[in-house]
Amino acid sequence: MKYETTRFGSIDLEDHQIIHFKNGLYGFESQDLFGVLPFNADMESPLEWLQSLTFPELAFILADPYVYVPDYTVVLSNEEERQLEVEADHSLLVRVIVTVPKNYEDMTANLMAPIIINMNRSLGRQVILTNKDYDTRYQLISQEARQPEAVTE
Amino acid sequence: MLVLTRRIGESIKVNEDIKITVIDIKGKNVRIGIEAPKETKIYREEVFLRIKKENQSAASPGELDLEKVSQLAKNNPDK
Repeated sequence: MKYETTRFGSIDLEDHQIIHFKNGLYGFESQDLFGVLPFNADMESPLEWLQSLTFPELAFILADPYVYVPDYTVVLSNEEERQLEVEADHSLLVRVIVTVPKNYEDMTANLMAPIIINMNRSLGRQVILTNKDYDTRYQLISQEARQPEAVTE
Repeated sequence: MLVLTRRIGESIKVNEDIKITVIDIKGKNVRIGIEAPKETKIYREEVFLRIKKENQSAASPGELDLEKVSQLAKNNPDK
């Protein structure tokens, strides 16, 4: 299936790569189809794109939260599991949305509201975690990893 | 919107399994107790608004140096 996107031009996705978000995302409730695309075709990256297939301009950056918070824990409600049609042998992809400001080193991830995708059913949902008090603006770049000039001021 | 008046200690039932009780009132603050099945998700409305706002800030970032962003994101595997 071919889709037009602002950022990537025309993209061709197989059926199983078309992820249905019945509720859209918070603030983007009517956007119900997304594809997960590589962040940068030229190099390996811990990031990915969540590209809207219904609104060509709309895309989000995703990160794997376990890379940054190894003990990150997602607890889904029964209703969320039902909607995602989760069964025991299904594999769930857990990603968090990354906000990248002008100063890239200040990039943050929303750990409180991850994107959960049931790969076996191509169903996705943004859920709000209540099992732990996770941050909506978790700093991905630690102070030590920052370049010195960026830390001053 | 359904509006009900309750006194301290009185409750409201929502369906069979959710009970909301007014615990205490002090000036403009109301303490509310909620009993609900474990899988019920309960959060303050501000949480929703914060997540909406965060999604909006994250949406459709402008022109990015993808290599630089990747490199930075990669540099920091065990914060």
